[in-house]
Amino acid sequence: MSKIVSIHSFRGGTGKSNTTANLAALLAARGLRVGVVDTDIMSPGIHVLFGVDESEMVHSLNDYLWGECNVEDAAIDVTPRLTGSIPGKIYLIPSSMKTGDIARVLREGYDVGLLNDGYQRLIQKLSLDALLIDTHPGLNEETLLSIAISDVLAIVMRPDSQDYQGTAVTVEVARKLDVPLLLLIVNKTPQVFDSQMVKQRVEKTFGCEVAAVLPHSDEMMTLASEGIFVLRYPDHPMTGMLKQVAQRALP
Amino acid sequence: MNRSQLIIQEVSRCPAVDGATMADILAFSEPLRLTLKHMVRNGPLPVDQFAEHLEVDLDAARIIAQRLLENGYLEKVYADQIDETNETVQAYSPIYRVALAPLRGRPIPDDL
Ligand SMILES: Nc1ncnc2c1ncn2[C@@H]1O[C@H](COP(=O)(O)OP(=O)(O)OP(=O)(O)O)[C@@H](O)[C@H]1O
Ligand SMILES: [Mg+2]
Repeated sequence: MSKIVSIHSFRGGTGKSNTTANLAALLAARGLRVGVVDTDIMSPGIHVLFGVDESEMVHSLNDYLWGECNVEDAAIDVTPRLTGSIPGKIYLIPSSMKTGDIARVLREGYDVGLLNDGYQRLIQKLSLDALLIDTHPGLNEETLLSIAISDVLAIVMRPDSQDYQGTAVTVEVARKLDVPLLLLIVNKTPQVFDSQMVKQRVEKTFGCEVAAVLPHSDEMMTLASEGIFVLRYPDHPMTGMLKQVAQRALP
Repeated sequence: MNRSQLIIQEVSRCPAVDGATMADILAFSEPLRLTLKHMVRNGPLPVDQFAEHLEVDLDAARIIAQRLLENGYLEKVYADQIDETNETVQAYSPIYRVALAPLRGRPIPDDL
């Protein structure tokens, strides 16, 4: 049975796209076939992590939502461009980076039902074991839909008061929609913080499982989204933590 | 009021919409919210399964589905059909799907 995993955060810049790309790489390294959909139509970005240039996008999620192609036509097999031996597959379904396309979404809207059908079709056409959905921060229609249809929702937050408040909103929505597995990932934790205490505080605040407390990492900052951390630093402690998250999301 | 009556009351009072948004679905109380979510996630349901999810009897489920249909939250995928050859009404059980509202655009400058 394939699983749909949404990666969300209430506030921006928490590390959703990096977490999504790293989870995709770890799952593909286990031999799984993974789809990654960039539903951040207003501010796409995850393609950068997979080294995909705008000029390579023959089609995008936008074209599918406007009825101009099948959703699988927008999928790019990014596996060959990743370092290391990856027995599985990663297909990226990018959102368009063209200003005109982003403006068109704003101007014309799109059929949300198609997005839902598109997820199911991708799973079927690409024989996916996992579909990872990278979302826009905050709650909007495509994010709510993604949460509703997910088997696993991973909420990324920083140990910051604004993030605590925002995360409470998303957790409440996830509970109301009865998401089967809800995981919290604390990211960018300052090295001076005691990660065990952070974990306890977050678990107590939200009453749900913390899958990892990831440190703020200079290596990640330096990588600057030009690659996938777990492939670049396979022996780094953070890679081990991300593996635990992948294992928890897809045992 | 019993369970069925409470749900019928809720769907009779809910605002008419031109297709449901996920935010509309979130606003319903239980068991409607999770039944509609189930339909978004797993696909359309015939009325008997709709009744099972809501834990109400078939008659109540028909009323609830009809109100949700009239108010724009559901649509019929397969309607009852009239068999013209022998002029009897074939009581095909209708299958209901959540009618997700398209995301509306808004005016922005053409040269953006
Ligand atoms: N653990 C970490 N340590 C240091 N820097 C990090 C860490 N995780 C992510 N970053 C950096 O934070 C920035 C934002 O990351 P990312 O793009 O993954 O966040 P996002 O939640 O997807 O953002 P947005 O909300 O804009 O989509 C990037 O520059 C990334 O390199
Ligand atoms: Mg992002």
